[in-house]
Amino acid sequence: MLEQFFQGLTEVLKPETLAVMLLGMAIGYAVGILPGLGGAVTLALMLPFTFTMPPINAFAFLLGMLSVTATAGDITSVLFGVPGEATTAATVVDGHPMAKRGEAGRALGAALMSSMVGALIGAFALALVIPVIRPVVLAFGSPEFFMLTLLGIAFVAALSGGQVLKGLIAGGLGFLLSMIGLDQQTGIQRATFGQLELWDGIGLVAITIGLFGIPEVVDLAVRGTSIAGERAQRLGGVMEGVRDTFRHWWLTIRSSVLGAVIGVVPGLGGAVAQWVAYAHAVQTSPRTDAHGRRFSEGRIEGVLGPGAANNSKEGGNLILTVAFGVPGSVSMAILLGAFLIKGLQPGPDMLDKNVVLTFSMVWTIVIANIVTVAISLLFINQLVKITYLRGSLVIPFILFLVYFGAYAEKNAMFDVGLVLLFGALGWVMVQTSWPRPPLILGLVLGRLTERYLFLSVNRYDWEWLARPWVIVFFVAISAVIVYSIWREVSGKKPIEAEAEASVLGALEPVSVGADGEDGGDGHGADGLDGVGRPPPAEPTPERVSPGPRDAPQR
Amino acid sequence: MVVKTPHWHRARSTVGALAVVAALVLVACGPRTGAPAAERGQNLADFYSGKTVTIIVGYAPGGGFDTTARLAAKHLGKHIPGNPNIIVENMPGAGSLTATNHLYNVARPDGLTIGVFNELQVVNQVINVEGVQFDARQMGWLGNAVQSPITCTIRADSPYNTAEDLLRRDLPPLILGGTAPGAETDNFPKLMSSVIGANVRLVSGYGGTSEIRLAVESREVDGMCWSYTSVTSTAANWMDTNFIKVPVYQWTEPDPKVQQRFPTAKRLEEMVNDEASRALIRAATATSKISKPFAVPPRLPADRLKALQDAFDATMKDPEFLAEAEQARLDVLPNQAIETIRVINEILALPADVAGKLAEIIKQG
Amino acid sequence: MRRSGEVLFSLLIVVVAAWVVFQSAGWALRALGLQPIASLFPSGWGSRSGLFPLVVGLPVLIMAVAQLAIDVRGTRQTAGADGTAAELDLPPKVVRQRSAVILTTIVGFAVAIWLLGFIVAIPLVTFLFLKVASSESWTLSLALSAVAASVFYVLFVWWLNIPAPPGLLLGPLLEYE
Repeated sequence: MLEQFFQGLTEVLKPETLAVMLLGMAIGYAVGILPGLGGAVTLALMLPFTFTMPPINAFAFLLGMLSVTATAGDITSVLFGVPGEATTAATVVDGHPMAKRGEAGRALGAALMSSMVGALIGAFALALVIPVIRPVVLAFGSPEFFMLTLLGIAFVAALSGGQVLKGLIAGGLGFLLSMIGLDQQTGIQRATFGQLELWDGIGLVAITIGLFGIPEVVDLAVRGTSIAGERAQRLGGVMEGVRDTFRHWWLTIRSSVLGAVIGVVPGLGGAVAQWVAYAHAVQTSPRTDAHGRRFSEGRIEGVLGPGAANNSKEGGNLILTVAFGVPGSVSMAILLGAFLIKGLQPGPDMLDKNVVLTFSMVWTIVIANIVTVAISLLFINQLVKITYLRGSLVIPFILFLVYFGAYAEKNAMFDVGLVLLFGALGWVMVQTSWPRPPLILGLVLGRLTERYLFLSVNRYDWEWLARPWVIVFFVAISAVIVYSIWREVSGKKPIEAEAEASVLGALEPVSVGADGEDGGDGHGADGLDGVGRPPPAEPTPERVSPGPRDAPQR
Repeated sequence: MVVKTPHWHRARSTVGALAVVAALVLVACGPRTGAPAAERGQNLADFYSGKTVTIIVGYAPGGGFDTTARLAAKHLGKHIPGNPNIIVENMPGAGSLTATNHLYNVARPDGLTIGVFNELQVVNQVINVEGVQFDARQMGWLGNAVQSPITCTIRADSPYNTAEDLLRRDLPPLILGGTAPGAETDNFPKLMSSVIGANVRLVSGYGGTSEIRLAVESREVDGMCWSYTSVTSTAANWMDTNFIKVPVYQWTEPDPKVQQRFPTAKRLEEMVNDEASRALIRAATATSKISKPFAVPPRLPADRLKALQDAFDATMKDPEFLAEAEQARLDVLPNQAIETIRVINEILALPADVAGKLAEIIKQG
Repeated sequence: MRRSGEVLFSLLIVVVAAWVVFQSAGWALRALGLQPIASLFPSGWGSRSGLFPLVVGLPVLIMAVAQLAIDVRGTRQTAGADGTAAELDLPPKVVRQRSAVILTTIVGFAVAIWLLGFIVAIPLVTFLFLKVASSESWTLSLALSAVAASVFYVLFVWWLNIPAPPGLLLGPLLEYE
């Protein structure tokens, strides 16, 4: 096995293979960076090109592309507040507020480094478990998968940002939204209102981009500044972010493992890992950091968790695809298609006869991520400069990519309307301080929970409740729920309770300037700057961007 | 950015700008579009030369339909006069019903659009499934790429060995996995249960055949009924390791490939004696003869339709295409348009009582 | 305004949750033997499809009503800001006007895509936003609009072959049949 492990490396390092991998990486990077446009779309379009390549090259190309979209997507999430991929939405929640504070470099450094760590752990986890993975996964059935989805949902409270009631409601709402469409069990249409486009449910990409991206665009336009606002970008911040990854070493590793494990569960899909990792980061980190900041105000842990998990899940997905032929995501389905076209059979063969190919895929992920992160770190400062541009220049491009990204998922114009609808919802939620992450978590897990429950009951009646792993998970779920709620509810001082926000860069059209209504809390008399922390000490000497306080620039 | 106060006279300049731009756009867009379809007498090669033919696939990339379409797309162009460029677009949704409706209602009948969707949509039309907005009689058909019997593959260690075993009541029911009502994985077990009283239990709701495969391997279900070509292309390791056996399958006559590999397999219609049951069985599985159909919008100019049909036929016989299909283990067994149309008309001509019975079986939740 | 917005939103959630419960509760009421009431509820979803909507919808409804009560009573919750509009201290009129502009743009863009297709909508809206809404110079506006359109066309239409439909209005105009 060890011999094949390194043989996989030598295969990948052949010049031709390396060249196509780099090409795939370049394409994947470009796609990942474009907000909204998914890796799956380009993967599909690149598929024909791989027809003529020998298998190792084809997979180096496709995997090279796939491995880097999550990393590149994190960049967009941080810089623009618009998810670069549906799987990088969680990075927006704390990453973008950091950018708006002038810490884009640091956030990016952390996102990149944690992505690399996550990818490496995911890949090596894949390599390590290859001998034992089949019996392990096969020991799990629908009942266990049901408990796992419940476990995921148990994290809803942790995503509420302190407003447990609203968080639970939002989670429940997301859960209900996920049930729109054709019920596979019965063939009955639920809430599709006669629209064929809703038969398969609501498109995740459209919702994610709309919910998180549109409010950020609105915020940018209203602020009238560049993304970075008036803050000077601390250009040295990138290395700070890299150091942060090592400062929070244990969190990064845990998040990576979490992502890889979630990636192995069939059907969970790509979006779950990031939110569970984010929730985990919230729960295992101090409530406020040294600057008194809470989560969703720009906490580095909120970037590290999802940053690592959305890369490591690729390793998990790959295990599932390679060892079982069960694609964990759309991208994996395409990869699987490429397998089959080449005449390869996923399954025991891939861990046996063709294990060199499997190991070469592991190495592809490793090399692609290392190279991507290394190059990104070199050029990140150039990318950060985009945040200096006038918002008005950037907005049309963001919007075009948002709408097109949603459309291109299924080539459906309907999804453009969905973006608008959920953009409106997202904006309203920001305005009324409702947390959005629980909604998305409920959305990605809802249907799945239902499906696995019914499969379990159909198959085993109610005997499955006594299965050992089911009981173990039940205990774990109860623990998580109790802990989450207790943690969110306790330890809140009265002033904090009033002033707390779960918002992600909210607008404050009324509170600002105290127009006399209850909105006067924006600049409260107690000196608190709206969020329970003192206003910035002194204005930074080098104001880079214009703002209304300055004389009009034009 | 300057702090702006509302300038309502901006509205005028906005409208003006809009009008100018719109006018420019319309002018610019005008001559760019394709040739009017009225030029019927136009030489085919001239028409297709330099153009792009789009194949719309009703599923997301990576699956069997998509793969077949993409492989065909690679070779189709050279068999069409004028050698147009062929591209593939995905339009997933509602089990390919979205794409079917689109092809029928929206796509222009100019010979530049082909659709590949699930043949079961034809059955959906017969049993009046909600959402069907096409008429398979009017649709143009180029042929279909695959014909494949439905086989029930169950784990080799199951106590059920032969088709007759399925009638036994002393054994625990055979658990078969399915995806959703209307899919072949679900239709066939329901058919067996209804027509011969087979001792089978359908556990439906899996996300896809690959998840059912996982369930079979983890012993959650005992097997599933799906098209043989899917078995050979996506579960070849099951075959290679003798992990499965096939007690029952269905085809209008004994299928040599299945019988050779699984000598004890019996066809479902051999288990019944009366003509009515046999007719029902054949009606329910008729679409397995027209698997992976290639279609075009209705009312295509006759010469272009013929050209595409010939091109499809030629592609299906193209040795390069076949070689790649073989590598991908796609069992290409094509039908020419004429045969596809015949089967479809047969299905659509089902007598009302048979159609009713079929609907009952398929739609039961 | 903040308060009424929150109240409205909570109310909306209550309505949605109530609708879900209404759609899905029929079978439960019937199972409980409450025939007369049950007949008022639709039975389309049945006990299987209606299970989860009810099991989740009912608690959501209860919690939403509680939240609505809280909002109506009006605890002083502030929406937080972290380096955004709050700190820039913009007068509310400006904020409202800019919000209106950007919201119109966002909605308008979607409508334009729907009616005119991506290829037309992109340069059109880019130009309008830059020139009219943001008072950028003619050169910049035209140049960026051209850039946007060409990037879109070259990258997505020409290279990636993603279908870009001409839109509801332009579509029929561009056809000769």
